[in-house]
Amino acid sequence: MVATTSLGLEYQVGTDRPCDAPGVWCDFVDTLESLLIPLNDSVARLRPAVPAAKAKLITPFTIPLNTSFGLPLPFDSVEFDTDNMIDLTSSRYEIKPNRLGTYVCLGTMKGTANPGNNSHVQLFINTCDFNLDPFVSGAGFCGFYDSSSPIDALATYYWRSTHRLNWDGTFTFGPSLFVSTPTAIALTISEATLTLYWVGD
Amino acid sequence: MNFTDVLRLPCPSAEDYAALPIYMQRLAEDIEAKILAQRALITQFNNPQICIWRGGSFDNTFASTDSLNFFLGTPDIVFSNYKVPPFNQDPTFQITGSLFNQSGIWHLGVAVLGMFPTGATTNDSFRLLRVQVSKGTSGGTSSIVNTGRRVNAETGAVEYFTTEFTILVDEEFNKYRIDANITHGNVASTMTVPANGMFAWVMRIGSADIIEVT
Repeated sequence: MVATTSLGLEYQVGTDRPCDAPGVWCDFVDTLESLLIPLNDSVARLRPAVPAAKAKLITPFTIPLNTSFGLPLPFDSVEFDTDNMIDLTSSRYEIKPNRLGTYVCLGTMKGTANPGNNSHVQLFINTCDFNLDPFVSGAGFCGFYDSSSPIDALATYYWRSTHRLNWDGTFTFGPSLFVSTPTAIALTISEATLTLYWVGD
Repeated sequence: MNFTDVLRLPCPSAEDYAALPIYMQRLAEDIEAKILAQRALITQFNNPQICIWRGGSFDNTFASTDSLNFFLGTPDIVFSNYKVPPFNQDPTFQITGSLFNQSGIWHLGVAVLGMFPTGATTNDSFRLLRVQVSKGTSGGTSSIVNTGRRVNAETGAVEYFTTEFTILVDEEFNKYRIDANITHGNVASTMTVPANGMFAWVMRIGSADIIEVT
């Protein structure tokens, strides 16, 4: 009479025949393997790599005057991508997660801005689905932004914006990076980046 | 001896009956090795490399012709759970010393918790925090990341700066250095950062390998 633990691991009891031990043993390791494989898969989701991707715009890019609502930034290179989240041949404007869950989103930008009558430039991370077109307007937009201090002198300025994203897989597009400039400021971006990395289900 | 299909856990055949103690020992050792490997991975996820520094006292003010550099080392560590090779030292957030102990993707951040003029203020003068990560190469130094924060100050108000970024660190992680400093254009007086006014942190996100399990 072979007994089992609550997880179904077989073992012999005192009334079992010793000569049956090899068979019980093999049942035991088969059950143990069936328990360990899902655990291995679960652990493998956590380390050594988690979904993480960083898209960059490194070709100088000029934002026209008075782009008050915002212009999406077209990425042109990939620094890292552990889960095939970036496909620049199909879309240069987004990082689209594959694994569901919670992500940290981090956008950075460096650019040269002219004196702008104390106006601001804003860098947005758009975490709403922009449906058909990254050049969204009005209701299609929601974002989290960083605003520069008043730009009084021609100089290099830096922006960065962070956000948490709960990616449920229902959106057509992934997060994108937007820049908004007021009337009087011309901005030439020398580098912009968008990073997403997964932190949990 | 038989083995399971995937994990190769041993189990005896009928003819191995006499060797059961040896096989049991091997099975126990195999199970232990696999559990320890899983435990190591889980521990790394729950406890990724993190170091947080909060700057010490800055007695000196600095003029518009000077700069204030981040030199954050062992005395400034608020929390750290890793050491850097080759001498098992604390990581340092400064132009000398090592910051990383492993390749992979890292997330870094810097904050200046208040900077203010010691006297008069030059209107519209800038305050600039710059952070550069570079890597020593056979041909010199290669800049990896340039980031920072620029503020155009209208008055003598206290200014705060933050910046953060991610970086891909390769296998030569001991060749990376970080240079963070503050400059300003306030010619009317010097500027100062209060004691414990510099704050920095690093965290390893994971390796840059392609994930195997979605």
